[in-house]
Amino acid sequence: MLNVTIKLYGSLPWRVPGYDPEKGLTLELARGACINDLTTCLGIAAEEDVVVAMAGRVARPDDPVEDGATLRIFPVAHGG
Amino acid sequence: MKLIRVDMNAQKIREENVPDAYAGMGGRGLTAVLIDAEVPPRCDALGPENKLVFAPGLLSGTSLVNTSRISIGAKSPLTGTIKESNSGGKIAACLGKLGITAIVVEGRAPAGKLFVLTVDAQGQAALLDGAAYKGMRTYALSAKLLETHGAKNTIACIGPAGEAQMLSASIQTTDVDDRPCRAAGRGGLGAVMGAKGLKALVVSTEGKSADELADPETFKESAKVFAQELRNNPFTSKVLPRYGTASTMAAVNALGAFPSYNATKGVFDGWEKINGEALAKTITARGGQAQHMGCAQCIVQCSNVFVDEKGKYVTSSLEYETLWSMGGMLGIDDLDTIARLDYLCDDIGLDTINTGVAVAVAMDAGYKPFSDRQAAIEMVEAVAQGTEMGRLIGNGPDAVGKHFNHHRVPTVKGQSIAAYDPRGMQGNGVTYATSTMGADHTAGNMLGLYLGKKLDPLAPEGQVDGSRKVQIGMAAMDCTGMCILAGMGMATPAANEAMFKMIGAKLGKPFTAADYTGMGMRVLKVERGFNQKAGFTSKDDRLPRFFMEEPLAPHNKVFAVSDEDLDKLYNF
Ligand code: SF4
Repeated sequence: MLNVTIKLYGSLPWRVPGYDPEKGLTLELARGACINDLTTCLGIAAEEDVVVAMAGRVARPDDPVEDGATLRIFPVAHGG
Repeated sequence: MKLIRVDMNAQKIREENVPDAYAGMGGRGLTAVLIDAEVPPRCDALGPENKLVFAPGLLSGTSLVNTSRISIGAKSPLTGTIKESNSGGKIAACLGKLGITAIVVEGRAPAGKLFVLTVDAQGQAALLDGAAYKGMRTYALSAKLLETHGAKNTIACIGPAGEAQMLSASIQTTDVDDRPCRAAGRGGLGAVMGAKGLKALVVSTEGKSADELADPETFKESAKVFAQELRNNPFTSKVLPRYGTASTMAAVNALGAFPSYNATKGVFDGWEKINGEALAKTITARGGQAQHMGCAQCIVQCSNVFVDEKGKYVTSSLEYETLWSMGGMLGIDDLDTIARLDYLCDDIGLDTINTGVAVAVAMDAGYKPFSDRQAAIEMVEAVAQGTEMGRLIGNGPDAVGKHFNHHRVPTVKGQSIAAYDPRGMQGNGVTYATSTMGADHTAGNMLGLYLGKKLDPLAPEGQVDGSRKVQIGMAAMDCTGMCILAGMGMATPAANEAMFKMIGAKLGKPFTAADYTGMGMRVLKVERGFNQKAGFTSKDDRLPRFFMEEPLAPHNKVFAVSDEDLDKLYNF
């Protein structure tokens, strides 16, 4: 299994009752899971305008999830 | 379609029809062509030859949402280049509703004299003695001016920093709640206004003589389509109203491109204490407004009203760039301190970006430790006191860097970068280096391209082409009066088409996507031409050396776009 920490931003935390912004979520995923498996597991649809960042980079749906990684998921932003 | 010319030498006001050479231009386009035609490029920016231009956008004053953005232009005393600084509030919509294409402030008042310019509901301008307002800060000044001239007015003004002609001085505009908290911050235009002897511009909100539209029906239909597109767009309809521009903080820290501790780290440890989510939570719990309409006709409402623990007003609007410049750059993760610093800058009339970075350089040079909240407040307050340290901070990061002989000064052409590090977002580095404005994130922010996975932010390849495209698009949008945040809604074909139709309906001729791009290109070329005549060459289109020599954690990259590639930006 893979163990990852998920941090959610914008209105994404509202979907997870009891979400603690300091700790985030810890999830176990099957070995070989990719970013798409993770977003599906979190109930985030492909057409939603969200970004998954892993290890300081924007991840693609077919990127493999790294064991022990912290993944940050946030709505698309354009700067201010 | 009239220009109001204000001669500060003789205190005379003259109206004229917009000359053909400037016809069809608005906002940044108009400030660019007018300054290029009328201001000697090598003149002293604080001397009488410079002109200060207030130009609402092409669509300001119409019924279209989010079009109350004003372009204020001049030769910049900070950068020595041509400058357009953009502000919100009500003034652009009000000038548009008075049928005023621009107010051009020329010459210089006799030494020691200070004036207030008023424009009444009929569009008649008058120059009044402003001696009574000397030294006033912007909040007290705005309240006094509204008391004197009536509540149905809106204001653009300077504080003590502008009067003292400091290079980071802003021009503050009043928001929908009449607070002088919107800023044309960049480029020291407040110093130009101070040098001219103009303390404030007071404009009636009751104008009813907007320029006629050539095709009002098409305009109305397209304006409806555009507004609907904004309501459908998740960024403009959900993210910005809930978390404001601070929503950007998660993305930039997640990418490791958030310049912290004077650009020595790419992730700020305390960013989750000052991000959009923390800000909205704090404001809501205290009874402030996490969502607020800062500018007239805005349906996006990215603004907020920050209050203290007792629910008392502190500042509006706490924005991403200020949370960075007064937060991450200084190692301060306390919203109350950042809000206080934001208020002080607005009240003294200072660019929060340049001022925060000036404080960061001083801290990095060892003058005070990073994270020292009280020291940061004292340094900004010192600007209003006019102490020696205050003058250094008020003149920006370059002045501070020279004073302390410190090498790490994140500026281009004297103007500080914004909250995107060129080593973590290489394309933003290209924009900083090559923009006609000096380092300026609004001239061409690449964040959307990176989050959309269209470009790798860490690779040098493709950044110049990307930046060129975005800079042209931004230059065009800055002509329209449309807020750049609402402008993000132009991502859809329907919104794009609606925008082109509205410009066509205003100008009375077909207007296509190519015309829009052409307008952006024209603006950039005029601005660059002015800068070249002022003595700038491609050698000035460079980042400071430390960005090429000091890798930024966590990616440990340096800025790697070659000089040769940077020089291709203007290949169009
Ligand atoms: S989105 Fe924000 S900056 Fe833009 S017009 Fe609205 S309040 Fe002003």
